[in-house]
Amino acid sequence: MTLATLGPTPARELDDVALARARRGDAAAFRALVETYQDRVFALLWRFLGRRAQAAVVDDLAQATFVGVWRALPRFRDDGPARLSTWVLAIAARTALKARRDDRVGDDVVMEALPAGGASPAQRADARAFADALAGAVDRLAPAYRAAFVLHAYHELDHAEIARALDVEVGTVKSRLARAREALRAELKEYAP
Amino acid sequence: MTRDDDDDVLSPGKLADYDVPRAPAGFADRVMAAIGDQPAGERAGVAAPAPARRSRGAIAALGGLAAVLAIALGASLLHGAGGSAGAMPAGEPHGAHVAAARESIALGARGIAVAEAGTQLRWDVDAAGAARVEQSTGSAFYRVERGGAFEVTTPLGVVTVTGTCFSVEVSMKPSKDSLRGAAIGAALATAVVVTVYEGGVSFARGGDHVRATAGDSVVSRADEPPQLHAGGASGSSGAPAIAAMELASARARVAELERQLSGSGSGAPAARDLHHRPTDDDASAYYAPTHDQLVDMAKDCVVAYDMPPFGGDHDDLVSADAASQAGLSDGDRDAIDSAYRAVDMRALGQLRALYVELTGIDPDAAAALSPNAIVDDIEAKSDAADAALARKRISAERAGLAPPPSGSELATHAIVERMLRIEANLGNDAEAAAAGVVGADRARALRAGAGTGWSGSAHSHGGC
Repeated sequence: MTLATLGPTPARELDDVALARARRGDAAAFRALVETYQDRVFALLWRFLGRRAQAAVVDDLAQATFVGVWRALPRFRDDGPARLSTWVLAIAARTALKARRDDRVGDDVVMEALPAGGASPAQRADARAFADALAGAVDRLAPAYRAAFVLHAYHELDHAEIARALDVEVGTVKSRLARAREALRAELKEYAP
Repeated sequence: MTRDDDDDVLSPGKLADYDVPRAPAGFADRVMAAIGDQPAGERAGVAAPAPARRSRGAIAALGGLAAVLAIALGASLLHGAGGSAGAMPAGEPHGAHVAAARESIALGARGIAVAEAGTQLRWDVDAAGAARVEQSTGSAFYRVERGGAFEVTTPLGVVTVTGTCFSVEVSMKPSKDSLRGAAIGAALATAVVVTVYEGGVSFARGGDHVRATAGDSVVSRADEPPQLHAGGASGSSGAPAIAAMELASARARVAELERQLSGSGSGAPAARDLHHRPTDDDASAYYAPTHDQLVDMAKDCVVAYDMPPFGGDHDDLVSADAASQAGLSDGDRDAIDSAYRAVDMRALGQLRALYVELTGIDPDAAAALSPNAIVDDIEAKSDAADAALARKRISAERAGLAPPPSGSELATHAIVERMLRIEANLGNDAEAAAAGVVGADRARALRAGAGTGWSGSAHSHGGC
């Protein structure tokens, strides 16, 4: 399986001409859109659903995301506040949140009661162990906090963009991000210098 | 954006350790298959984007998916501008479009682009009328009315104009990505050729600026500064015939677009939009108006006339059926037609001369244009005030309320007026030609045979 870091690095946007063609229903242009954003969508969904998620479920949600993009693309305003990548990721986030609706945890709960990773402190000394610990900690964030954190930390959405994506107030985003980081620091304090 | 650079365990470098799978191979194929399963109405139910204008001809030429789009575009066409005579049809102020076939696209209120298949355009016109067009590839002919800044940005420079006719051709070299079909617009621009037909343009690339006027071309290649090639586009300085034909073709396409757009307007009709068939009560007003009718028309500066076949390549003045009904011999019919063709060719020559006078183009280029294209382009280039003055003068003269101008006076009048006089007099000239063969009464009977004058083609233009 090919792995992608997809951390906070500059991301390519679909060129304007292809976007215009895709909006008008051009299949080749829409394929270009999918290929431009599919890795980012998968990254968001994997981090949102966690490493324990089934690949088929992630694939289904990614497909649902792009079908949603296809349907809504004529409404996308390229002179509006959202970049196309932000807009696509917002649809992915909402799709994932909807999928998790049945087991959503209240906003006042930051961390879910999931089993922690089983690595020993010695094992955690290396980078792989830290990655596992980080993944586990992100997994245990409640969905609303996790969504805000992943969009911010891994996809470079700012507070306003996250607020639009998740349909919440900017203040709520700031609060969730602060509490998520606080919870993650607590989870990962063994790795702090 | 707030970053976590100061937070060691949550720094970007640390967060990057949490890697996740990429999209699996074939994912895009599955998405496209899923989309293909979507009922058409699913997407059609979504609000459509603001469409670019297209000509009806372009709509008819498109197929498949593009045709579906064209239906939506056609809806916007039905909301065409109803401006005054000579006004360019207003287009969408913002848009992006890839021409599926040769298409005419209105760029705001002052510009029209005739784009060849594959040409990619994006445009933005601000409230003040300043227009910025991006042409990333392909070939397009532009006609721009004066009124503010108008820029065309290409991969190898920026064309700045005020009011002019010019073409832009972007030559592309396919990249590896574009050959794989993996990236739209991935091809590399190797050269941009700007050809100026009227007026002047400024071409800028980096610190290099080139000024080109009618007849010049500017060639900008990826590996060298833009070069001016003087006197290559227009026939005004002995240009090649091919350049004249390109201009003629481009002008005809622009004129055709304007004719279609103005004809589809739903707002207040422009003067040229008043073409209509007369009612049974006033049918004769177009070829044999009474004095009272002429006085009434003069009050509203209305010029009504019939129009025989015009432009050389057309049917006989008198159809076989009309000749039979009038009892004309074949010899008389041929004689009438011969006499009229001399009238027709003289009028066509006068019209082309007016066009050359107006635009300064080579007569050979004007000769390649259809009469309709010339008429439409003259109207487009003329001030509405001049057209209104022409109607006022001509209608007053016809009603006996003002004397006709002398030849020297007429030469100082606007070209749009002189053109209207040619059009409005052609029916009478044809009748006179026929009268020379079969006499005045039979000639008038032939003219009236279709009910509204020659060919049953009745026109009126009004408004002071």
